Amino acid sequence: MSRYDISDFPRRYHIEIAHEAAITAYGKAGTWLDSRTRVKILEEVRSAKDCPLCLEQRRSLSPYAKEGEHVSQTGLDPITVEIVHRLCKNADRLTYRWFESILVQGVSAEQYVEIVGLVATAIIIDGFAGALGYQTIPAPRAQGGVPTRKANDKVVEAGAWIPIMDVENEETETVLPKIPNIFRAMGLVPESVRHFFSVMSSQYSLTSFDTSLDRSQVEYIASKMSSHNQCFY
Amino acid sequence: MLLRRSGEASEKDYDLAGMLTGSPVGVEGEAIFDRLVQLTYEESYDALHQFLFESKQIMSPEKLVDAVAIATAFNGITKVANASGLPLDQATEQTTRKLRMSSGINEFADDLKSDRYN
Repeated sequence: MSRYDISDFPRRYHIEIAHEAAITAYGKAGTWLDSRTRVKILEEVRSAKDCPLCLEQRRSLSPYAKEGEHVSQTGLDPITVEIVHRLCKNADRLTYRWFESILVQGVSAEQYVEIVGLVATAIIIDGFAGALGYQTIPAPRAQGGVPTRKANDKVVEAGAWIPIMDVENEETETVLPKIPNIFRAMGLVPESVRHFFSVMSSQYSLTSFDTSLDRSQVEYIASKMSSHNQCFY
Repeated sequence: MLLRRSGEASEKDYDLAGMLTGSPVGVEGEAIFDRLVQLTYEESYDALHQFLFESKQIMSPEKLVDAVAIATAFNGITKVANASGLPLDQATEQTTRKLRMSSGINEFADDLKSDRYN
């Protein structure tokens, strides 16, 4: 319990409901990952913040100069642990060479996308809870089941590291595309797109959404966080 | 990029270079948002709770909660963009060339990161 009581701050129940549902989905088999792996990825996100190797890499001029083993207690394979930890603690300095090294070690682009989606979703959910002093939503029990392994062929090479969702794009009146690249990024695994944006869109939208902030404040905060993450996009 | 569009829509002139340099941009409440975003990014939750507690004297709790929602959402979505080497949307690429140059955003480009860190 924090010494500074912010429990009288208003709740955003539509966000909390979206978060609960998204956490439940970790316990179900995904497209390429089984339910046990998905739950372990959630647990790995939650323990990565204390990893000494990540902290050393964070402090280094190049995060790739420090080698070693991440501290992990989930039993996930080392490659998945590497992806999870890099995304959690050093995502601002990811490079194409690092990405290639992941694929070379046997992770498919589809598996990679599913992991990325699970990690990014967990970062949002746990970040929101931590920031407002809520209890972390417990990891669900793995429910078994078999990944569908259904490849999505409606993807296109568009200059990203991975093929992205193939769409017929139109510009909106703001000159932005109707479906921006960020929505298409995980198009190799449509279920990852749905899972991630079930959370993301409860908190932000390019069009109108439920917020007490004006549009410039929303975009200022978004831009500042993007800057911390060294996000070119 | 969207802050630029927001400024045009509301006919306000924001100093967007300040997004990276730290100089004032001209958005109401930006000093509070700066600290809130930084503490959220660092996962410094005790310090963040203290900051939110103290900030409710000058900004409504509703706005502070909604600011947390935006900050945490973008802490996640930037991971997706960074992890996929995502290029800009074509229209954004064309209309923000000057802005990206002046603001320093180009420094975050994927090829430059590869040169710098590998």
